[in-house]
Amino acid sequence: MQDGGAVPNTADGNPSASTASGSRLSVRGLTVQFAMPMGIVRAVDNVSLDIAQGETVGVVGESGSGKSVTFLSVMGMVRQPGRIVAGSVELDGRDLSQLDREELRGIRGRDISMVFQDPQTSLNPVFPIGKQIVDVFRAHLPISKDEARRRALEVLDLVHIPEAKNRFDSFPHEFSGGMRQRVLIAMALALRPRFIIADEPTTALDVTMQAQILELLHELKQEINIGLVLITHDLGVVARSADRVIVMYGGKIVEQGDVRTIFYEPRHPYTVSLMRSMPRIDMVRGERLHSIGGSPPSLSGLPAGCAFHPRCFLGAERPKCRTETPELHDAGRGGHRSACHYANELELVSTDAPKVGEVVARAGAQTTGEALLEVRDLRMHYPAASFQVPWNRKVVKAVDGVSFSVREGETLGIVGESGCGKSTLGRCLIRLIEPTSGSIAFRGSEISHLGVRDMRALRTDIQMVFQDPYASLDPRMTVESILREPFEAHGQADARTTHKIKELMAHVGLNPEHIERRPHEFSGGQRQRIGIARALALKPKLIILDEPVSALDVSVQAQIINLLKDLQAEFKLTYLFIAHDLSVVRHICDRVMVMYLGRIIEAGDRDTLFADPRHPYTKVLLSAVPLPDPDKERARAHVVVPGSVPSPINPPRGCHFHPRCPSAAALAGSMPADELEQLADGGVLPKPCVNAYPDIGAEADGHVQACHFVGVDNQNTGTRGR
Amino acid sequence: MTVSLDNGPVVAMPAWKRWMRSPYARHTGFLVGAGITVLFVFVALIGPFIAPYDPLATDLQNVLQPPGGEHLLGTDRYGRDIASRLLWGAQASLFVALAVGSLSLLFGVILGTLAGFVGGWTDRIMLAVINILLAFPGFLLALAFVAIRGSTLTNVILAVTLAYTPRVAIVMRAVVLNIRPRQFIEASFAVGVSTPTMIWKHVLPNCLPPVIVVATVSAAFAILAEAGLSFLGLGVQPPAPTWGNVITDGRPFLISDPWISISAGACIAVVVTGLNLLGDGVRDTLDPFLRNQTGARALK
Repeated sequence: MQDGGAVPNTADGNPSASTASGSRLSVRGLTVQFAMPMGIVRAVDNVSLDIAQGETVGVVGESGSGKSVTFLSVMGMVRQPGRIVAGSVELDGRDLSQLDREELRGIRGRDISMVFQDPQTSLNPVFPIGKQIVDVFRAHLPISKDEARRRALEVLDLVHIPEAKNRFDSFPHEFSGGMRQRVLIAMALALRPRFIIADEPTTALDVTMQAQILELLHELKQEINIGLVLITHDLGVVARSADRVIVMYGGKIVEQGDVRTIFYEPRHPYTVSLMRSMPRIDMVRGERLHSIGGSPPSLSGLPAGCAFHPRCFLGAERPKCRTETPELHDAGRGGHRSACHYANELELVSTDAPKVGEVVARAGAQTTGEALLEVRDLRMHYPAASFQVPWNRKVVKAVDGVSFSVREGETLGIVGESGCGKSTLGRCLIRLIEPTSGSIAFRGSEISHLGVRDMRALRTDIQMVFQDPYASLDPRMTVESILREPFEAHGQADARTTHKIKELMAHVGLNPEHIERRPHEFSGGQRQRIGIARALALKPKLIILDEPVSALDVSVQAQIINLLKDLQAEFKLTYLFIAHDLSVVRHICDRVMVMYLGRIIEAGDRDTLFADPRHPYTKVLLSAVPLPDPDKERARAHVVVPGSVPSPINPPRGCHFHPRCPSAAALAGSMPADELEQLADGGVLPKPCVNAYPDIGAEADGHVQACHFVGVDNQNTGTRGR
Repeated sequence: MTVSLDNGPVVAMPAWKRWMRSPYARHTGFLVGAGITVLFVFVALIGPFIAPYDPLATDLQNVLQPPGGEHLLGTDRYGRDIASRLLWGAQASLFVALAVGSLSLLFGVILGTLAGFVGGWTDRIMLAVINILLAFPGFLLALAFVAIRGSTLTNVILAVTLAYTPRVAIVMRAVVLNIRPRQFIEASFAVGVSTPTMIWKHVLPNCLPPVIVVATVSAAFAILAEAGLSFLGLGVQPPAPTWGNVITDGRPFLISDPWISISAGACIAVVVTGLNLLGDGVRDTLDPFLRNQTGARALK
């Protein structure tokens, strides 16, 4: 890694960066404590790590693992009530933790810079992006405005902001999320730092945007030799981008090593469990996911001994794990270190690493039932603003002519990126939002015109589980009153209700004794269990699950997915599973529909659709999801599409996907000129793509898609373009 | 079935201990405000029983006595005992404060909820009316009302309520608008909860804290307004013992015998300050969203 070669450092007044062998960032024995009302909380506990210039280090951990705090400390950005109580952070031998505020300010941005998770809030909304980058230069270097502007344009080019000159004076809200993240990366890169710390840089982005940003980071690392720290919870991202991996749990490093070693020969039970509990897009792992019991510990109440032991499949029963805190020790080749007393035993444990192309057959999915829910040509249009002049009304076509049916006993997945209308669709189905037109038939009877009273009665049959377990429970109510509500709403509350509530709690894996507790006393996973219990209370036939696991940690996500599967089998439930995470959909669904800008563009049986995606957008989506398997992920062809999902206010004419479609662009090259349409931006595309929305056809195997040119394959899918 | 481990906090301590740990116990403003308010209510309730003299009894031999001696706070120009008048007057002030506080809370909450929850044209029209009312200074509105309707205690209460209801309503509307799009509201609709139940069980409990704070302020304002109206001769008619009337009684003697007005003014100042401190303390500590999340955020 430290090839010492040309450090492409322009004359930025950053002389130390041009030292021959590349710099090194060393953290030694770092311990960070927070003084909280409930006592001292140790967020980072004796962490030591090294990062060399030119390498990418993935830092993996669930919430509360201390991964963010560790690197905030490196930047000297831990604030009250937090304090670094021990350890050092050295940049080429200079201890950053001893520097005063002014000296640290000189380091930040110049030697080490940071990219934050949320591109929406990390840019100042009242300044043009160009000015914000210019400010970075002017804060550190004594250069003129024009010079700063020239350099700002340079870095904007570097992160591939198209037409950077014209967009220099645009405000953050004029950019999409992915573009804003590019701007932030440009700011981080501005002074050509030697290290960039990216804290969940793609978590807030859609999967196609994530692919773009990962591609960009990869490119930048090779181009300008930075040391990149990639803090993430997504093992796929790590597998795709990292050279080395550090796994954190409970404020400590539990395992570190080369990316292949970590993925193929993990020596810590937590790492092993994490890998096993992740649903994967390239295979189905039998009916149940491996799950780690419990939830990530809160740092204020870490278990004694090894912090992981209560959830560990190796150490739960062993006294040594309960009493003795394991230290990191060598566990194999190439600096592979693990903090497990019994790391050796893991050599015999399979990580469940899949063979390429392995697909486990489903055990008798019940997709033969009759249609429970029939949706025909459903539309949900709403005005884009509340006061509009009559001659220029703008309408958001959130759902625009969607037809499908849900069969009894199956799980139908609806996937798509943000803004595709999947959540609106789910809400229309139970009429939390009134659809504009179309028909919804439940068990053959039309429900889209039912009055308030009849609709309320119907809610015993159709229920919903919401995405955010923190927002979907009234903070002032106890679990009992939350779960009593459905019974009371339908006049079913009686003397036995409390008993029923306790039964429900036991069913979803909650301790019935906690019936008097309020939502804030539960962890995220437990809250989602309460939400599921509420949906189950009235014994519904159909449950609409709106991103039920996307707010949860990986290990907890597996528990909830398993729970949902168990409940489905037990109560003969039908699920409509709305999600953006294709791996989860692959695991839990029988059939899948893909939505783009309010329309279904492909639908089919799960295995058929994932193995043989036909619509170009589906192909793009599938290839954008990083696999938690470094060899396979890196060998795979990635279709990275440009741009982001257009606004549903003014969707593109013809096929909504045509401006971003790699297939259409490739096809245009081989078509005669009279079949091509000249576009405003100078490009040419096949006429049908630009002019007509493709009908979603029907095929014998139930696999349908909406593309004019399906089957006309092209070579574009193999390129690694931006 | 996976049984989850639990690491939620265990709540098992006596009530007083929990109270000592609650943020109220650490909020000086709240403690002082609550102390003053409790004292005020207590005095207002037992005042008539501990008052040494009849508040209306004139004693022309002992007019304008300075404080001390037989009359703790002296006497006014008819020889009436100031301390007794203040003790009786506390009752009137408490009554006005309570009545205005609860009436403006009641009407304000109803109007605000309606505007916020129904939305659309209902909201726009109500908002316009509320804004028009808000454009008048509260005291002026009360003054006009009393001038038209005549000066009785009831009218004073109605007048101040009229001035303060829009303030409560507009706060209530804002909070309702904040609560209505929350997912737990949607979740309750999804299980079939009807709109009235929804408002009663979810919207109101989550909206009340900030609104109650506004109501305490309006109660404090009511005491001030009553005194102000009395001072102008538009409040409760003399010789009834109210704090405002005592100030008015002392007006001709502000230079020579200032204790009359000062003692009544001090009562008003202390009680109004106490109510405001109480309101601020409640506002600072009541919000469960703020309280439970600050710690968790720092540790992200």
